[in-house]
Amino acid sequence: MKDKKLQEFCKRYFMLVDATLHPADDFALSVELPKEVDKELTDRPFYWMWVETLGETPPPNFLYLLFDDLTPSPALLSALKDTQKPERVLPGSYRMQKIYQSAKNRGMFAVAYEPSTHLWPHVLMNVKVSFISDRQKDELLSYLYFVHTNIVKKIDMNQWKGKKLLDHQPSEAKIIPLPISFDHVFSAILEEVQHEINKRDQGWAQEASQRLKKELTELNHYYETMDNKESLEAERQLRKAEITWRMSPRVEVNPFQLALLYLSEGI
Amino acid sequence: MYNYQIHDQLRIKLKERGDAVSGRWGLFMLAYEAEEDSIAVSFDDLACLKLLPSVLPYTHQIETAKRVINELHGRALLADEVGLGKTIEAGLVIKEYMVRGLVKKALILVPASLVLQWTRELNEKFAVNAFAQRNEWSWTNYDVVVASMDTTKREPHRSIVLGQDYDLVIVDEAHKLKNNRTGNWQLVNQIRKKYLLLVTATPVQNDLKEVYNLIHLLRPGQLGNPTTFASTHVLDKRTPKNPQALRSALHTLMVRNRRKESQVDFTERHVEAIMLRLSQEEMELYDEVSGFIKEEYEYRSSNHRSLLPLITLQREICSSSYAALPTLEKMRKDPHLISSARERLEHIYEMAQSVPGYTKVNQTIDLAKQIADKLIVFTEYRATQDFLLYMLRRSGIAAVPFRGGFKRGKKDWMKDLFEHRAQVLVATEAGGEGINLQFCNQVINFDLPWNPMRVEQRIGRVHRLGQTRPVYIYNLATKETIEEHIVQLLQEKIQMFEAVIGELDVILGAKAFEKELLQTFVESRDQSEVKARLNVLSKRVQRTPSNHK
Repeated sequence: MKDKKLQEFCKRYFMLVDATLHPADDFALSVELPKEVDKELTDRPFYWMWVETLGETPPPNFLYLLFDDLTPSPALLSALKDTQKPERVLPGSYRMQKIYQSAKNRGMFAVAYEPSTHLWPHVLMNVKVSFISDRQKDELLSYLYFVHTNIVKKIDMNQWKGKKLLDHQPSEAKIIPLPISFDHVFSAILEEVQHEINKRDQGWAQEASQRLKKELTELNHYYETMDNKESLEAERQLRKAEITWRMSPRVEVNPFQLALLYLSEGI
Repeated sequence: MYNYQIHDQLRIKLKERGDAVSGRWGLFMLAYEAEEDSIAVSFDDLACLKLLPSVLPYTHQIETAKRVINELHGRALLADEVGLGKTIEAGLVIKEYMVRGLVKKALILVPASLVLQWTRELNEKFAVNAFAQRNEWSWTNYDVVVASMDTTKREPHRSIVLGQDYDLVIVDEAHKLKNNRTGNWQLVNQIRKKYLLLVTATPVQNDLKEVYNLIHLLRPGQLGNPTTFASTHVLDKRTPKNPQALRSALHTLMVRNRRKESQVDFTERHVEAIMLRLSQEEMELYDEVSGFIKEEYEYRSSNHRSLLPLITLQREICSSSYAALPTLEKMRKDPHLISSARERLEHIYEMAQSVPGYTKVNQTIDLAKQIADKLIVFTEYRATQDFLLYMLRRSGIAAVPFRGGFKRGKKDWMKDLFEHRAQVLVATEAGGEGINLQFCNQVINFDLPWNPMRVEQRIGRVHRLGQTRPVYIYNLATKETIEEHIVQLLQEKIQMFEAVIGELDVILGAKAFEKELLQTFVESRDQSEVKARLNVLSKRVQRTPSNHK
């Protein structure tokens, strides 16, 4: 089941990056990689440097990815190129790490349109918020900024997952042109983010800063009781810096995606 | 209350594009889903568990990783008993921290022989991109580096390592940090690191101070300063004043899973002593050597000279006459030796060379034929090992050697040969560390170490996670020799040792224990006295407080 989801994800990925899908077993994907995608999914920088320096056009690379422990059917296997060894793909495997990374890089920005006649510009931004001390947790927050009214609204990305948006402006659509200052968009949304975080339970940070204080106090106490304090000063400073580094509570806000959306209604 | 930090990479990327947005909505949503799948939504759960391509950790391993991260705050002593998978636990911890983004740069310090194994396991089992250190550029070129402690502490490596910040340092076989005056300890103490994992099954070997030194690396002051530690916790070198107090002080920094308590179903273990009678020539040699040792013992004790060669000789002569030859040779050349002793040694040396048959070796060959399955023969001595290999092969039994001194490649090769071609693996003690031989379930202890911990480590090579069959252990011992008593002590009273080894707060110092054994043997006038004294010794060990919750 988990693997089925993974296979779906990979199939979407390969189609979106314009890789060619060839016939394969139900539980497999056979793909021919465009050069740029190949570079992102295989870890061989020297090969590419060499190929490009010589100005050669290498033959396209093929992958045969398996999403189950079943054996690929011999008929399909015999059709494989020599370079195309069947490869089992699992969550967290190197191949998946690379595919995720490639998807994240390529999907950082987007422009999309609603199929409608009158369209207003909006900016959608996704932000990762990490709550960190010696432990950590993350949350994804999404905001929609309506350029016309300067309003920021927190939205739920799950409701956007099924939305059919177009990559190209519909021919009949009329776009309301509005100047966008991205500096302004960023600061407006980030202000909302901070507002949102301030509303959250601060217990984790209180706990972390108390622990930090306690650790530092006890560390100090220990070194104060040592006879050879002076000679241990460097060690003491190092441990102090390590504790602060490890335990200080902090919140990291990391905007990671931005889309310019032309939608039929304002907010 | 907290530091608030905004990353501006996205803004910068957009600026690089002249604030012109482009890209496909489908990819945008795909990237969002990838991000959703990569984050850790709770503090407490292990986010890495769904991302382990080829390892299914046991419950106790998952619980341990959680405890290290959630309760011990990332600085901990992992002290599981052998065979419970400490490497997997450490792997889980590093993977979890990496998945969460808390660790990017990590250094894993291990014995040289384990560098490639660790690198391979991290890559294969955890999909952690770890590199085996190769040269002085490795430190800066790679984020996760596995290196040998001995290399790391030498220049130019040392300065480079000390010049960097490490999110995580893992030290395997961390008992090598027991002494705070050594280069090992000082190196680890000086590295700037956020998280630190010390991994060892034997955090204390001879002295309570060892655990103090380990704990100091994790959290200075946890056990007080050296003076207060001594007055609060130490009764004598090996006995804690108040085990309960020491245990609770260690509790916040240490995880120790025990085989008995883990939910892992270990297969059955059958231990059998095989008592042999030496041939007349062998017995004469044994008596002669024992007599010599008794005399020398008195002489050396009163002259404050080292007893170590005597302990060695007494143990070797139990193994085989071959094993004793190098020591006899060395002692013969000792300039401090009085002339009567020298003559006696010459005589012993000749006797040793002319023993016509070898009872224990013959028994081993018989057993190998009888078992007709993979078999590991353990001996403490190189000379015995060579001799056994020779004799086994001469009887048509395919046998390969295994030693701690082998390079990694050779170890793997021998393991492969043993698995696929040979019937017998003849291993010396040092062959134990870090190699797993679960496909074999028969072990012969050709000779026994005088140290129960080492016996357990031998058996742990095969009786561990992954073993599917019952394990059979044969202890060879010759009647009317010290061995008879040793086997009895280690085997029949093994319950006592299990209780003792398992407890950190009761320490059975190996060296002191060996000395005490020798003392018992040489000072006793006859067998019944040996027996009586050993009884007292075992009672004393048992009396040491060891009952845990």
